[in-house]
Amino acid sequence: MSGLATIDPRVRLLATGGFALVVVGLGQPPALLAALALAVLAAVAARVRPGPTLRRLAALDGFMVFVLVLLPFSVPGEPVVTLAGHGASSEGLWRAADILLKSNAVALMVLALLGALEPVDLGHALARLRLPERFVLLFLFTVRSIALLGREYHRLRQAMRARGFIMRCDRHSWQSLGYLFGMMMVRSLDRSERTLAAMRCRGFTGRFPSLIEPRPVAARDHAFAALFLAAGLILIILEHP
Amino acid sequence: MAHIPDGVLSPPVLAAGAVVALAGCARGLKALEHERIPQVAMLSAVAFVASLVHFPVGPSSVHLILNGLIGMVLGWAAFPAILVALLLQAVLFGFGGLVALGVNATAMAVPALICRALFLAVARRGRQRLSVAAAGLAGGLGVLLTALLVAGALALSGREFADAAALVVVAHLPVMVIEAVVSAAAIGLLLRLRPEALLGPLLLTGLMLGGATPAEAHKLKVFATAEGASVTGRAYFSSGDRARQGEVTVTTPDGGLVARLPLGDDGGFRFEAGQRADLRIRVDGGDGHVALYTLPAAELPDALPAGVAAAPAAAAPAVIPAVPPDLGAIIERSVARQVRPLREQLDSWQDTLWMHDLLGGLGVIFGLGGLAYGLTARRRFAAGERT
Repeated sequence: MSGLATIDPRVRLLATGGFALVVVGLGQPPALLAALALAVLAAVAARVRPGPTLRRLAALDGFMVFVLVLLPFSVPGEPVVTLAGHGASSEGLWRAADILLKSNAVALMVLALLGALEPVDLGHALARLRLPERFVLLFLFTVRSIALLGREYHRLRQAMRARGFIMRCDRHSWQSLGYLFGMMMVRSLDRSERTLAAMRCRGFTGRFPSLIEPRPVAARDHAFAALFLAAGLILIILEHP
Repeated sequence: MAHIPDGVLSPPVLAAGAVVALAGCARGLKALEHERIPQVAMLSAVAFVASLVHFPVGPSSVHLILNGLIGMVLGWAAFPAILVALLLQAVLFGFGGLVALGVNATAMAVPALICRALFLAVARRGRQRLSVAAAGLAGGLGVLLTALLVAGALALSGREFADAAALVVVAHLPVMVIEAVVSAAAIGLLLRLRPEALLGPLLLTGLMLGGATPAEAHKLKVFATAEGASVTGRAYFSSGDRARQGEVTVTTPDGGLVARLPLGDDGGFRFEAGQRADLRIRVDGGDGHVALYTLPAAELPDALPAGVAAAPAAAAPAVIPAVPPDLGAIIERSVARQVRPLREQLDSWQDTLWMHDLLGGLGVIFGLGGLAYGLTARRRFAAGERT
């Protein structure tokens, strides 16, 4: 693993959040390009696997494709290209590029700094950042349950396939999936009761003492935070030359 | 799909979304007791897993949002649950921005709450078919409202987004139809199998077809022992919780009042038995919870006057000095105190044990019957083989 992996999750979380806040406020091309470069740098330092990461970014951009394609035509301005009678303005093109740069920079930074984090560690980091205890518990339990229920879903889908079910675009398929989800809910209701009984047995009163145990921030974490602050300052200086 | 990335929305919209999401989460977390956390987490995990399922539509495929379903099942707890799900999706898959998290959560959770209100308004009438139809409508409505909120957030961020906003709503129409059918099926199943999870135990009467008895789930029980002339006891629910409020009435078999006092905060009570008689202790815990316990006269010290007229509780302390503080009484009292928790536990077990006993007894009968049958069959088989 890279050096980034040893940084305290709290610091990584705060750094990512701060980065997102700064980037959203940017507007000048140099600053935005610098932000994207910073995110790429972080991704390289974190040694994220390029294939899956690029695919995720592509999915994100695919989601925005409506917004991005329509923008050059909906922002008023001087037409650069004319397509089927509608002029694409340079202002609109710039606006689309601005959104593309911002969203990809933030998403890449999130994947670089938090993507490799185990969700449970993220939950612990949230607890140490003093988020409400119940929220953190809900987060941790949800993470655990998603893993369990993902397996359960695949088992049930396999059983459906064994009975000759093929997913089509019709009412029958949707209804069958609805029953599948309903059945998963019924089972998880029962399962959560067993979980609760087991937790009660261990004296659960709504808190995990280990969650709020203080954990000191190491020197390297301070260095990392300082580095990020400096980067943020540079971005802001680039924005207001 | 409330997955607006960062960089699209304007600061005022982002701030408004964050404020609404914070307020909603605070309200949701307040309503979420820690005992319910595993349940809420699991149900929202079901929705999370379900929202990753591809539904083919023409050459492409769509994902469901399922916020209507989450809302109907979780109520106010849907707000923090949705925020958790969105945070996870942002971190795990890079879907949706970090700064836009508030807007995205609001766009999903507010429709969820509206769906819940609409669904409950219909479902409380107790007509199964109508409830399922309402669930379907609510499921579709959840998507429509989310799409409208996302479109609104876009349109408020700049006039140039107006076209894209309209497109967002149109693009969600197929999702709306699929989700209506899926929600109706899922909620229909839950209504049949676990109606109490959706409607709460009090609203069940119309839907229950007999069989389960939710009232049995927490029966009020009372237990008391005598330590010398004073009687201490406790009222508790069979689920193990202490009864918090209620009134204790103690009478003799012939109806004479011995004491009347309120229940302590821990469900305990204590009074002086002014006489030696079978004491009938009746605890009224409100909401129709009434528990009875009879303390046999044999447990009270011989020194007390037998079956005299009712002595008020206030006058009772005067009786204590009348008990001779001899060694026998002291031993009796301390033994009673030691044995008390055991007896209390036994009494609470008696309630839960009879079902096990019944099943165990049936099991033994079946087992012995099977053994006998097996042995005779073997003998017969062996005999048949020989001939």
